[in-house]
Amino acid sequence: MAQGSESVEGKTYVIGTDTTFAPFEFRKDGELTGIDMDILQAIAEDQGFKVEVRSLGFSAALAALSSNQVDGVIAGMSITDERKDIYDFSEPYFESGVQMAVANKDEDVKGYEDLEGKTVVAKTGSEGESYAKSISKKYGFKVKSLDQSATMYESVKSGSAVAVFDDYPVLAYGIAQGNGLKTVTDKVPGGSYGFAVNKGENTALLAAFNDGLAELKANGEYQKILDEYLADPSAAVPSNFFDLVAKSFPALMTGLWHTLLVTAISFAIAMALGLVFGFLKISHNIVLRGIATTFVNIFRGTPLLLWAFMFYFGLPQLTGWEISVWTAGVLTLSLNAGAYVAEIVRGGIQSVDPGQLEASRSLGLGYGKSMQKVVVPQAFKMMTPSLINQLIISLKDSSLLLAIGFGELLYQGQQIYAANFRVTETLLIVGVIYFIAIMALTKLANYADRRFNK
Amino acid sequence: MSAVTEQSSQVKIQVKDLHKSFGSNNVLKGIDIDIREGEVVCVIGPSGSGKSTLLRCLNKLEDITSGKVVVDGFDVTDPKVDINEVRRHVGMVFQHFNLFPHMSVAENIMLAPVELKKMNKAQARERALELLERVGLKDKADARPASLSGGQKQRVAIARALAMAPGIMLFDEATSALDPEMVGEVLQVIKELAESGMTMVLVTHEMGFAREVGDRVIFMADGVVCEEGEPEQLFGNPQQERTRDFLSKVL
Repeated sequence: MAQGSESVEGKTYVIGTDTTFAPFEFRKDGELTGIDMDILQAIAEDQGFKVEVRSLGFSAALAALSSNQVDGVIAGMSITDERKDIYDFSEPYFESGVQMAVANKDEDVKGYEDLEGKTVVAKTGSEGESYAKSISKKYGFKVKSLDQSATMYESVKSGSAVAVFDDYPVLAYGIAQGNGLKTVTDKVPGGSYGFAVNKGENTALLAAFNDGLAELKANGEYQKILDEYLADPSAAVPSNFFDLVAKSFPALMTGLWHTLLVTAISFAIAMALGLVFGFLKISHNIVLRGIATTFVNIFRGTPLLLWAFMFYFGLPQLTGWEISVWTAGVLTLSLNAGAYVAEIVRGGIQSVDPGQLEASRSLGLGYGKSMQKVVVPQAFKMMTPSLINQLIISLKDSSLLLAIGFGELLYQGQQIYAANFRVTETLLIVGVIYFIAIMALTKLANYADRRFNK
Repeated sequence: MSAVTEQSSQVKIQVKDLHKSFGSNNVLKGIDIDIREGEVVCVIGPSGSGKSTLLRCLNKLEDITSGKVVVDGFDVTDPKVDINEVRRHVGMVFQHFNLFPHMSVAENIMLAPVELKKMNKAQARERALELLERVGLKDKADARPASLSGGQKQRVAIARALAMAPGIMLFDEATSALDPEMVGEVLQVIKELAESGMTMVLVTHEMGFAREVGDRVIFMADGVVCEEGEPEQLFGNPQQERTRDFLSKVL
């Protein structure tokens, strides 16, 4: 029944998904799991293809699909008319519906009519959001859109919103995990979820998905998967804080390692860029100076996050190259830090008394030698505190790369609290790890400074 | 080597119609000077008269606007002449010493001979110690410049300028930044150098010293040489009104 001449057998497809949309996708002991994941794996096995799953976040996964960074997206995504204009959808694999939940202890909000003048939250681009917006005028409440279920639940618990509109299976799973909410309205029957590919592309993959889905429904496998997640969702949730630390530690250490590695690589490149552009900035040649000034102004004058999106989603569409999340991450961090390092280098060199260069030149040493032996060693000594500062800023900035699904420390933390809904405690652990890592780095850098810059 | 010019071997420095401007500000307005080998020339004059600029044009620390400067046989205004080569023949001592703070005293002196591959490190250190002995600071060889007094710093700077065995020495107000009690020790070193037959040009405010050590004194005002002559004649019987006016203020 497969359409198109291509066969999917033996091929590997890259599939984008959300980071955290339990019970459809979430991490359990570091492994990505959930209804979507199990259905996808079962279909792949049935149809004889392989999948490589990239856990990017919902919006990022769709951006990656549009830029052909991934072949398909499965992310508990409702099939809507707007989306059908841009993507081709499979047969629905899950019938969802929207439900409203409030904080456990909230006795005031029992239905939509109690929402007058209040704020509710919903997930950006979700069925819940469009439903909430469609009735917001009638009941007189405001809708705030957030990106993740876990943060939505937190804002309801903390009182910055009174209610959340979310897909019922997600709400049900969260409540069973002890997220501190309760449902107060009936489920509004609505959207069904589908697997999406770019319009007109990957038709063989889409056909294989439909074939596989039909097969799973026929042989009972499909129902087994749903039951596993929806019938008894009270899976292994860490019971106390230390249990949480122990359970999350391996994933967080992986995150820390990625954070340190991407910072180290990027900062090494930034130093090289900074030296080159810093010297160009003090050049007597107006063209070279212009090039350096342009570089610095562009990367200092625009947000880091913009470049992360640009390199990861924009560049592949412009050039057709496939760009890994590591390449995009290193490009983003090193160009941003490089602009700051260039300014540090320029300032350091200009802070050296011009008499030093004159004295060296008057001895008959050339410009390059004089710079190398006399000016730069003194400049470097003055630059060191600023460079250490920039290194620490870069390390912290690397957390922004979670937006493109780079598996650094904060991203790993998000993955963990998205599955267990213990946002505050998980963030606390992540914060302590960042703090310790940065303190250790500062001590090390200061020691090196004292040692080599006497 | 490339640009040996016509004049007799007697003349070490030849300046012809030298003009120098910074933007629209004309600092030197046509200077003509010949300095013979072994001659000690002191340049005096009020602030802003162009003395230091003249000195800095001699080793091209300032770009020359027009005119000709020939130093030790090299035409420094000729773009084909390697200015680094010329500078190895011309030592320079600055008002603010400009010692390299990240190097020891000996390393300051060794830098040029080692980097320009004239000597290996051991030879250069030996030479540095000789020069330090000459300025009376051999025991400070391994000290950092920051630990020296002003007078000691300037003596080290003189030793550093001598490291490449130059035939000409330029002194740009070498004692102006010193505390009064340290001026003597530096002038003593300069005097010994003058007596050894070194060709020297000194921009100075020390009139007594100029009179004692100089073979010739040049009085500059407003970017031109106003008057020049032997010290006795210039200080004792100045011909120009400007010179008399200046001397009456500083003597």
